[in-house]
Amino acid sequence: MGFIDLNNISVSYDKKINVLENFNLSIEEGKLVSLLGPSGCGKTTTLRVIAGFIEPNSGKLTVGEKDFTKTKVHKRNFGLVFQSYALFPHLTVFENVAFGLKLKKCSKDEIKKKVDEVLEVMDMISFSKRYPQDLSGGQRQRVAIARAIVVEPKILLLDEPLSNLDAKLRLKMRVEIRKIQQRLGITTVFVTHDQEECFSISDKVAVMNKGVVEQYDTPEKIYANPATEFVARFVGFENFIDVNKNINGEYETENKLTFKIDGNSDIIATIRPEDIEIQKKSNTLTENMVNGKVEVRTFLGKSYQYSVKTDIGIIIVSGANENIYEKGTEMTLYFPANKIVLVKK
Amino acid sequence: MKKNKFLTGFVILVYFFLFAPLVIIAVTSFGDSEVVAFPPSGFSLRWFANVFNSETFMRTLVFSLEIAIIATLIALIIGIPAAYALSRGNYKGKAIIKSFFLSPLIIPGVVVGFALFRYLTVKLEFSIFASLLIGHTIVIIPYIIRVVGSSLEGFDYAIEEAAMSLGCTKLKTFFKVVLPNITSGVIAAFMLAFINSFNNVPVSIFLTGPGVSTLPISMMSYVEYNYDPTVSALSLILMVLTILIMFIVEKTLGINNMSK
Amino acid sequence: MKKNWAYILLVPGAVLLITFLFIPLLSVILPTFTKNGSISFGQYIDYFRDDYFIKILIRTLRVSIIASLICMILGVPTAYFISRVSKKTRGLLMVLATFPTLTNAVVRAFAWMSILGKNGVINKALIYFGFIKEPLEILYTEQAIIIGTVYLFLPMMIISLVGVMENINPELVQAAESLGANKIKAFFKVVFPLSLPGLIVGTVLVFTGALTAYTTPQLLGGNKNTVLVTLIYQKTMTLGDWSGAAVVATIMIFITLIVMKSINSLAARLDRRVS
Repeated sequence: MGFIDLNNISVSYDKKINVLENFNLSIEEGKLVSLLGPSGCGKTTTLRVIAGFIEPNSGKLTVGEKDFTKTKVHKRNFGLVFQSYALFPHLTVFENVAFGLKLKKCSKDEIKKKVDEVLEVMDMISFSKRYPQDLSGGQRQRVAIARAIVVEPKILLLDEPLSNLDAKLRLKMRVEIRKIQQRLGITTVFVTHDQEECFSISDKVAVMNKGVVEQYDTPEKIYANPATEFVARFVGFENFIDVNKNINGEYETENKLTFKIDGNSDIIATIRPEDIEIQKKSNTLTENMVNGKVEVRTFLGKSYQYSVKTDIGIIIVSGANENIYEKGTEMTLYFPANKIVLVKK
Repeated sequence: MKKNKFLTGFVILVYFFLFAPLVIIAVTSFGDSEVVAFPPSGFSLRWFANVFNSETFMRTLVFSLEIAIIATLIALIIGIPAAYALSRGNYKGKAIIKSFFLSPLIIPGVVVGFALFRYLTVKLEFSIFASLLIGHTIVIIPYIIRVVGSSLEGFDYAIEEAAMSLGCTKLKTFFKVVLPNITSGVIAAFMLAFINSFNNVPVSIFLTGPGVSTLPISMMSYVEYNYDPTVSALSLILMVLTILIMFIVEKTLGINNMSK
Repeated sequence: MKKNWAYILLVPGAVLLITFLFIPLLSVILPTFTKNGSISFGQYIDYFRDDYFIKILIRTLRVSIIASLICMILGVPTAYFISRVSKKTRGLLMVLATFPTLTNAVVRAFAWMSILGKNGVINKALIYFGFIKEPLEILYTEQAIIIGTVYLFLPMMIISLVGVMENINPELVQAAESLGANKIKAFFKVVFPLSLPGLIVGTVLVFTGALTAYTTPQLLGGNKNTVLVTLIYQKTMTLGDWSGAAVVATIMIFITLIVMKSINSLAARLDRRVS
C-alpha cells in the first residue's frame, strides 16, 4: 500500500466510453510521481479523481490510509496547481496566498507570518501587493505554488503547470518545483505530456496510454528498457523493425537479416537513431548490419539526422556534426546488439 | 448537490415568472366572457375576429409596419457606413464620436418624443408621418451601429487589402467584400431595429395624433377603457409573429446572435 | 486618405442626429434655464420647492431603486445557473430570457393588468383558497409598477450577468474549493466579486430603464401614482404646460447622466483589478 492508492478506479463520461477502467496506481510517500502521456490518455482524469473533481463510477481512493473516494473537494486539503494557475484576479498576491488560511480561520498574525514565509521561499515577497495581471507567467506560477503549499496540504497535485511557460523558464521552474517538493517531503503527482521534463525530476513515471498505465518505473529504467512500443516511441525510439524468432533462437527480420539478441515474446525490435553506428559501405556484412542509401538529411543543431533507405525499411540515424553525409551516399549501418530493445507491440 | 437542487428550483421559478404572464394572456384570448378572465370560461374565437374587424387596429398595424420598415432602412443606410467608419479608422476623437452616435440610447425615449414634438410637430409643423419616421430612425440607429459594429469587430480587414491589390476600388471593395461578409450582422441589426421601432411607445406617444397612430399606441388607448380580451388576441398574434421572426433569424444566423 | 473616408461616411448620420436630436433637445432644454428673460435656475428652484413634484421625484427614484434591487436578487443566481450549464442549454435559456424583451411593452403591461386586477388571477386564487374575502387592490398601486418594471428589465440584468459570468475561468472556483471553500463560499468569494462589472452594467440598464419607462407606470400605476415620465406626458398633452414638461425632462436627463457616470466610474475602478 502506497501513500496514495488508486484501486480499480473506473471513470466514464457517458455510459459507453470508459476513460479509466480498473485503474490501479500506488504512490509512495514523499515521492514525486509523474503521469506522462499524450492528450486523451487519461492522466488529467486521474489527477482530477485524486483531487475530487471527478467521482469515479467504481473503485477506491486512499491517501495516507484514509478513504477519500467520496470526500468533497473542499474537505480533502490536497494542494492543487492548475495549468492556467487560476490565481484570483480580484485579489492581490498576498490575498491569493492567504485565501486558504483565511478559510481555516487562522489569526491575522498567523496568516501574515505564514504567507510572508512562503512568499520569501518562492522569491515573490516584493510582489505581495500586486495583482495577478501585473505578473509574468513565471511569477504567477510561483504564486500558484505558494498558495497551494502554504496550507500544508497532505499531497500536492500539479496539472501541466509548466505548459504555458517559455522553454527557458520551464527548465528553471521544474528544478524549483523539485527542490520544494524534496524540501517539504510532500508526496506529489505531476501531470505532463513533456517526456524530458518529467524524466528530469521524477522519482517514478507512469506512462499512460488510453486509460492504461503501460509502464510504471524510474525514468532511467523506462529510458533504457521501454516495455512496449508506445512507451518506446514516447521516449525517443525510432526505427521499428518487425522480427520473428527462428529455429536457432535468434530474431530475424523478414528478409533474413539476423539480430542476435535475447528475448522471448511477441515483440518488435527497436533502436535509437543515435545508437546506430554509421560505417563505410562494405559488401561483407556480418550479423546486425545492413546497407543503405541516404535519402534526406536534416540539421538538428546538435547533430544531423539521416533518413537511410535500406532493405528493412527507412532507418533514421543520427550522425555527429564532424562527418556530414550527402544525399545519395551509400553506407553500412551497424546495430549493436546491446542497444536493440525488444518491446511489446 | 443540495445547493444545485435549490438553485435549479429558483431558476425554474424565475423563468415561470417571465413566461406565465404571457401564457396567461395567450390563453385568455380564447375565452368567451366579455372580460379578460383566467381561467377563461367557454371557448370563442370572436376576439380574434374583433381584431381583424377593428378598423383602428388594422390601420395602425399597417402604419406601424410602414414606419418600422422605412425607419429601419434609413437607419441601415446611415448606420452601416457609420459603423464601418467607427470600427475601421484610427483617428482623433473616435471614442467621442462613437458615444455621440450611441447617445440616443442614453436620452430617455419620452424626452426624445417630447423634444421632437415641440420642435418638429409644433414649431416646424412637420406631418405626423414625417416626425414619427424621424423619431423612430433616431432611436434605432444606435442598435444598428452596435450590432453591425460588433460583427465588424472580428472582421479580418486583410481581405480588403487583398481585394484592392487585385484591382478593386475602395467603394467596390466595400460592396463586394465587406458587405457580403457581415450579412448576418446586418440581418440581425435589421430585425432588432425593426422590432424596436414597431414596439416603440415613448417616442410614438408624443408624435401620434388624431387618426394617425401606431399599433402600440392604439392598443394602449383601447386598454385604458376596455376590459375585453381583444387585446389578448392581438397580443397573441404579435407574440406568434415575434416567434416566427426569431425562428427565421435563428435559422439563418444561429442562436448566439439573439442575445446581443 | 483613409481619414477623409471615415469622416465622409459619418457625415449623414451626424447631420441627422444633430438636426433632429440635438437641436430639438437644446431648443427645449435651454429655455428652462431662463426666468423672466434672464438666465437663471429659477424654474428649477420652483420645482424643487414644490411638494407635489418632490413627491413624484422620490416615488420615481424609489420605484427604480427597488426594481433594480429585485432584479439583482433574482438575476444573479439565475445568471450563475445559466453560466454553468452546457452550451446548448445555455443558448436555449438565453433565447427564452430574451423573448419577453421582444414583445411589446403594452402587451407585457396588459398581462400584469389582468393578473393583478380585481378580477385577476392573483385575487381569484386568493379568494378561492380562502385567504381573503374581498379582492385586494394590487393594480394601480406603486407595487404594481414595481412588479411590471422588474418584469420588463429582468431579462436585461440576466443577459448582462451571464455575459460576464461565462468568462470567469471555472478553474478559479475549483482552486477555491481545493483551498477549502465549499460551493457557497466559493461563489461569494470568487464568482460574485468577479461578476461585479456585469452586475453594474445590468443595474445601470435596469435603473435608467425604470426611470424612463412610460408604458408600465401609465398602465399599471393609474392616475394616482404619477412618476416623472407620466408627469411629462400629463404636462405636455393634458395640461399644456410645456415649459414645465421641459424642466422635468431636463431633470430626468441629468439624473440619468449622473447615475450612469458614477456607476460607470465605479465599474472602471473595479475593471482594472478584474480584467
